[in-house]
Amino acid sequence: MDKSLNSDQIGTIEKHLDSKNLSHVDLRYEVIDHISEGIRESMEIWGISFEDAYRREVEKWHYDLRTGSTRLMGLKWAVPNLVVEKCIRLVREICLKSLIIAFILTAFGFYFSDVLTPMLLKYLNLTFGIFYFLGFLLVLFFYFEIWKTKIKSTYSFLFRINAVGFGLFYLFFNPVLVSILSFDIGGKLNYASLFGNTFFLTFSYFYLQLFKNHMLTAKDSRLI
Amino acid sequence: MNEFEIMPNAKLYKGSLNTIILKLLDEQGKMYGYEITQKVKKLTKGELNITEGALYPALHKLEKDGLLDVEVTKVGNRIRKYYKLTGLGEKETANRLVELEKFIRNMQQLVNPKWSLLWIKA
Repeated sequence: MDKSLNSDQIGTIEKHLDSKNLSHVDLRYEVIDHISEGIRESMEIWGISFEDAYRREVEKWHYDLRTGSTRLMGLKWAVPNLVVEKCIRLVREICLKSLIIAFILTAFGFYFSDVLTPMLLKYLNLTFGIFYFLGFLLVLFFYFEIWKTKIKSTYSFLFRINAVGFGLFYLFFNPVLVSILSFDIGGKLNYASLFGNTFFLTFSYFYLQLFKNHMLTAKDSRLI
Repeated sequence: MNEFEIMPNAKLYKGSLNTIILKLLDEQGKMYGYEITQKVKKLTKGELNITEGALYPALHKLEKDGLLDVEVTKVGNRIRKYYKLTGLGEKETANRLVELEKFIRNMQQLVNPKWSLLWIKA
């Protein structure tokens, strides 16, 4: 006999996920389906009540729904372990890519350092300065667009916890405005600055991905 | 987080979750999360249990990498997400299986050279 769960039973699962703060729609719908399917199967195979099957399923999800955090995104931000796991996969990949690109570009800078005249370094400062300013405007735009969707996802969570820091960074560490990340150090290329700037600029690509993925998730959830 | 909630040798399986997912989808066409966990459990007679917390982030990563396609449908009063291989996913599955077979062969040669000779002859 097929024992599909009724709306009240699905509501019980949803309430449990609410209590665990799993509001990230990219994971939430699948977790609801997974738990529902587990309960349905237990009821069918073992002939147990919804309450007993529900308790068994919730126990299975105990660790994944328990609040956790990671140093990679800051210990301050606590979300269900399932969300943490997804965030780690996203952040780790972009960090690694940004580091590799920054290393390669710094090596290029080292190789071509003789070609880089003080005038070229000045242009480099200006170019990065403009990119940083555009980056700041984009962060603001993305933040507003994500807020307008009124939906939470792992992507919007990662965007939110990083956006303020990066937005401020674009303004206060802009090589045009402050000398700390200037490419020019006594008329020569500042390698530390080249590494830092290329790393942060590559890392900024992350925002575009987060924004794109959140908007796709929001579009999918609206279709549902 | 462990990808598998099993016995003392869970570490041996670490890193193979993506290959397992790709192989299953290659055989089954399309599957949803719960179905994948149950299929693995059934095929391994309960020896291998994929942890849910690792499964969904892994599926989303494979989707993001363009290896999986997604189909969302309504089942009863809830939403279900089916995953299937893309063209790129099919190629990647074939590559990973070749790598896995090579790995198994090398391990057999190390652990039991006699078995590996039989395997090569067969």
